[in-house]
Amino acid sequence: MQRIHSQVDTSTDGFRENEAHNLELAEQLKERLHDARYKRPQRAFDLLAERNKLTVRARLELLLDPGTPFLELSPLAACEAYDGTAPQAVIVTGIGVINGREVVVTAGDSTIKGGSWYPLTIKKIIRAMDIAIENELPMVHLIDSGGAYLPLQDELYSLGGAVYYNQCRMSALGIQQIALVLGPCTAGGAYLPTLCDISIIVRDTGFVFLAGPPLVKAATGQDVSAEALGGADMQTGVSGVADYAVSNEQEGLSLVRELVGTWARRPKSDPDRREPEEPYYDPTELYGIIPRDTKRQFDMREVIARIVDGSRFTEFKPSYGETLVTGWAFIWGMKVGILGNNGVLFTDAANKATQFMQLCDRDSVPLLFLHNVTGFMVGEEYERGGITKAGARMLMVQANVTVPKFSVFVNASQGAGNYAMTGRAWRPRFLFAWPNARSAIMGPEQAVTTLTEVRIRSMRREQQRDPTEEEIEHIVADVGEYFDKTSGPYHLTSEVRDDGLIDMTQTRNSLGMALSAALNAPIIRAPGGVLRI
Amino acid sequence: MSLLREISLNGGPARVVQLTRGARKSSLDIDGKRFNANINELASDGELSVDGSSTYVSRVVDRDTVLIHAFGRTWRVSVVDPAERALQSANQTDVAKSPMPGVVVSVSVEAGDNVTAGQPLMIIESMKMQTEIQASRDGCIEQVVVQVGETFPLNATLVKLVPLAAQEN
Repeated sequence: MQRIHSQVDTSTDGFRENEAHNLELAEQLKERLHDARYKRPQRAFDLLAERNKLTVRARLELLLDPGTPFLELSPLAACEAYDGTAPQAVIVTGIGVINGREVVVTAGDSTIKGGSWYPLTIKKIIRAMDIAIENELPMVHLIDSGGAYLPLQDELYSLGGAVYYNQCRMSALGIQQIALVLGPCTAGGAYLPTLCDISIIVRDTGFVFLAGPPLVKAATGQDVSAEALGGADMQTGVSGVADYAVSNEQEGLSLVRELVGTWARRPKSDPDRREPEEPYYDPTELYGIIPRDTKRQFDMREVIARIVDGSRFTEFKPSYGETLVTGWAFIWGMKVGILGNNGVLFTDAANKATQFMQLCDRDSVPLLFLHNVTGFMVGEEYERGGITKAGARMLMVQANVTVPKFSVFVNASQGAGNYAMTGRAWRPRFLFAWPNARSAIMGPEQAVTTLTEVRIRSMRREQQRDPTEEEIEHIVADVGEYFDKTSGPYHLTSEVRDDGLIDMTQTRNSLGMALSAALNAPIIRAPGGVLRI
Repeated sequence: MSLLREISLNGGPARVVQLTRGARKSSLDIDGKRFNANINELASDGELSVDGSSTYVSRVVDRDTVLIHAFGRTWRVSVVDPAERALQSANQTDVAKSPMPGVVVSVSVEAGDNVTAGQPLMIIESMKMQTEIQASRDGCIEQVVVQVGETFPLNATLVKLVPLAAQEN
């Protein structure tokens, strides 16, 4: 296979300036990840130790196979929400390996607000469940939550029902679920372990009941201990609500490993595979390649060269629709069809994308979308050429392919271009973003121009006057700030609109794990020929 | 069994090599000239004989390059891919054209300047994106056709290089 010939000159000032800028973004990401994962008040750790409980990270270490990678999902969820008081949205989710089997794990973190579920906690759990369903991966829940965060009940109550609904549907779909109860599971929360195939409760700290002792006392006057009401021994020996009682967390985690190990290993779907090969070009050069100015274009082939095996890329239709690069490559030995933006989408680029996606779908080749798109080309000439029709075809085919899709926001992902390139709503199996990425309905500058114009016109209509300089400045600042904030990577990842911000140099590894996880679900080809359009 | 390839020795010019292997006798054609050659393979090593003289050869594969030790020295052998060669020589044109309709943001060269392949000529903006227009080959600027602030349609000539033919004269 042909190797990409990089045109990058690593000795220029521009390269060094980009590198300094992107390394700073990478450092900032690393710091925010570290704080979200580990920064807690000391008393939270003391409380855990007092109750003979482990931290979430220690639990994961005991649960997963030593030395195997853990693909953490949305680690910065809620980082910009709730005034930063709910790091990681109070739960860790990800894909890990237990006794050689890939599983989706959720692990509650009781060092923050007793592990209470916020609306974004629920969004994060539901996203993890979607990943389990789409990729046919079993689920392991390590439950340690005080229940719903009541001051926000309005935003989470209805949504929360979907967690339990999903459990019932997953059971029917043949997706195994196992729960380890490490804290109280009260009211609705009691159904989370109880709807699993197997439920384990830790003595003295784990409880399952519809109402805890204080509520029972208030409702019926009955005085009853938590242990008698929903403790491990009662629920496993008397009621049969759970299946195993264990004496401590270590024992529980070891039992989960044992039980997961009894599940049959299902064969993965078998894409074209070859021996993995490191990229020929150094991935750390990405820091100097990605421009410090989001508006500045770069050749997506330079990015591809630093992600794929041996920097080898067989380009498809290289001299047609050149604002989109298409072609085949391997990532960790697994074949992918890549679509990467090299400019705005024109009719010919959209048509090329459509044809390429049909080809890959017919041949069971998963699709990888590398986003740097500001939209489809505008103007009379293009409308007359039916660019909207070309876009509609691209969307129609993209939405209906049966192969797994993956997206990475490499830079901009704006307008309808985001939809065409498999933005979040178009169900990529996984979506990662780089810390320099921006995504919104339009760019901040265009939004400012458009909205300022709208407000000036409405002022003329309603007040029969033009806005003052000061008023215009105010509008511009207002709109600019809103667009700047809401299109930023930390806002988007906080709202769980992606599966995590990743360092540029980690893209190859994250995609490798994501691809491997996706191959747990069979690729069933829909019949149909490939149209040359 | 016959094998036809273009290979390059120690980064030198490409040579056409055809290897024809029979049960007892093999022949080797290099740029049309025939040699009688044979190789007895022992795993990755072997014994090579060409026109009567023979040598012990060992080889190591490093990605696209094969390093061969034979006749007392090491040879770096790489296969020349015709498709790849075509790609590299493509797009060496006399004019830089606009990939999109847009407006000129800045120009970094003027007529008479000598430029090298890949050197930035100007920056254009279109659809909220700025693109650097680069020289496709080494050459001399004949004319900068559009100036800062000017708009242009798709596929418009932005910068002209002195034509290759004229340059060679």
